[in-house]
Amino acid sequence: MTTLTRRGFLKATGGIAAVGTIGAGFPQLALGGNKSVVVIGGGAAGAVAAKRIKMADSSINVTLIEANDHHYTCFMSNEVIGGGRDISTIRHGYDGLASHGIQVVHAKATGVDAEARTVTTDGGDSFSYDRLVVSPGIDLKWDAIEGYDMAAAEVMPHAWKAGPQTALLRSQLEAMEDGGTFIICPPGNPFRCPPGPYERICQVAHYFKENKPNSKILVLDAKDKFSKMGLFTQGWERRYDGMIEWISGTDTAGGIAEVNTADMTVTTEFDDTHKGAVINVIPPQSAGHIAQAAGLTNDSGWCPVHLDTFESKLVPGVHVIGDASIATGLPKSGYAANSEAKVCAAAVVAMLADVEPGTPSYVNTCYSLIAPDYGISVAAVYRLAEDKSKIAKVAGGLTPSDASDEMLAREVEYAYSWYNNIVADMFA
Amino acid sequence: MHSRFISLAILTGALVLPPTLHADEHEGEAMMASVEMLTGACVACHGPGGASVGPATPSLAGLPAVYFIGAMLSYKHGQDLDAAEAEAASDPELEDVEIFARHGTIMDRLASGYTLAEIKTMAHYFADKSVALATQEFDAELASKGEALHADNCEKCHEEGGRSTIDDMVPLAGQWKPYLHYSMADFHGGARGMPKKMKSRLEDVMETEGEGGLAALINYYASQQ
Repeated sequence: MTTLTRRGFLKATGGIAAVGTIGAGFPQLALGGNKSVVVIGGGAAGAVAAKRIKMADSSINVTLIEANDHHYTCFMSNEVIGGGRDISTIRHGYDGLASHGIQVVHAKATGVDAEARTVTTDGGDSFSYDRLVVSPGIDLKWDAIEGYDMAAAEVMPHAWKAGPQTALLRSQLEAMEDGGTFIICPPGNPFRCPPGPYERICQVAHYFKENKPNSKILVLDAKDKFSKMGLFTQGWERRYDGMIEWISGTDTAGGIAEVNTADMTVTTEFDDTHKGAVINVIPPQSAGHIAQAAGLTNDSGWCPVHLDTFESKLVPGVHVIGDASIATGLPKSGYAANSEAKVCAAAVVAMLADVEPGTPSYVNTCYSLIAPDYGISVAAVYRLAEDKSKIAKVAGGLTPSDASDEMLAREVEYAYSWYNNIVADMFA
Repeated sequence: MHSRFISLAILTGALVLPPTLHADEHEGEAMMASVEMLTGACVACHGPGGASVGPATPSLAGLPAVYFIGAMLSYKHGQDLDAAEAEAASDPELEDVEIFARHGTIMDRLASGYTLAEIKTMAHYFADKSVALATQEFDAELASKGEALHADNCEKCHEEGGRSTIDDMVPLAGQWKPYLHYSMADFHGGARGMPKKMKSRLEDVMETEGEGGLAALINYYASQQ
């Protein structure tokens, strides 16, 4: 809370030039004492939050703490795995954010002291904040599948955080002989990018069809239903008929229980064992480690938040956005993360100025590429429910199942545009 | 209006502004999200400030508000053009809005999520921006042919080589090529409506030049960077 002394008031009235627009479009006077916001994590949500806060009020000191020098977007990483895109095109740096006046610190956040309002890093530094935004992405649950640990992931990649794992899975597919079986094991809900495993199946199928036509894809799913299911299965039948075998959650008894990297086998909960030439295990997930360390997660492993501000329900003064948050009603998608970041940023700027945050508005648009000329999408607009219990869809839908070839081809070009523009929104 | 409230705040020392200042403008409606919040939904696909970085999604920057609102209402009401026209007619400020059929990929799924007041807010935000001229490849020979075709058929309304926004005319110059191509295909195929004058000009071009005429025009608009 800002205590407005007479001196502070005079300063404020003298500072009419420093007017920014906040919340519901109301003017706000910049006060003398600068506020500080720390953002942990420079991905789809964190980068946007940092940029939006700084652009809404340049007097706020914004520090972005990000472990990596570059960010590899998860979106479009399936196209890298399928060979249609070079990994360098999904790699992005932080110079653009720095040019907006954001202090970018490449370090790993190791602790949050919510009482003292400080963040510590593995570099031994400490950063004070008035408000903290945590955008940690996901952690993989290494204990969930027997035998699947970090070492096993070097043999059976998850490729569910883009970067070296993406490149590893790609290189394994390239090295695979024609006639081999690629096994992919999608997790149960909730997880990052619900349509991701199924787009990946398409991208690998396209690669096989062009290069290794005798190869097969076996999907050992933990679920009976999945995102855009009708459109994906339609696409598989139209383009990759006979190549893909999908085993439902009922028939795996809930996914895979065990992996054996020496034998290159996975065993389902039903006790069926399958051998693959290349195996992609996507394990169950939780909010990223720092969220757990900071006490932001509940028993589910994810972070409960107030849906109008994304402030944690567990730790006041700390906001959680992106895949780590429980944004009831929104999917764990890149565009939803972007939208959450914008709602959160507006709320943070308003709250720092002791102004009631404005009305939120949310959106999601998610494309999946079935083939180089065949894209599908889901898109929706959301509003906060009156009782604030959920983010309710007010409009939206999927690509129509009778869409013409021309429209499916347009969706590919729009998907690429989506990618370029959302990346510009994050990093430019 | 903003400056008035700033003065008020200074006079009264009331730096905490009441959150319901705009409520009287939208009677009966829930308080509207801010312009930044609303347009934040657009720009992750249509580019920062509505200047798309491509390759296909159109730039919104500089589109006349009347054009933007007409497009959004058409998307919002799908095939029901009468409903779109009725919504435009409900607002005396929108008498210049024209409704034509449109064939969207995702916009026809999203637009119904927004009220007319929200759509107007978005429209004015983008209308206040300069027209974005995309940096893109084009065929110089086709562009040169397109320049002549434009002068003969389009310039009368789409002035200054298609750059002008005078009389709420939509700018064509600098728009992304694939989007122009989709638009022309939809106009020609009937999925997208257009004024009678334009229809007759388009038919003339198609009759004398065929598809090549459209490609020439598109390359001409793309050549303006």
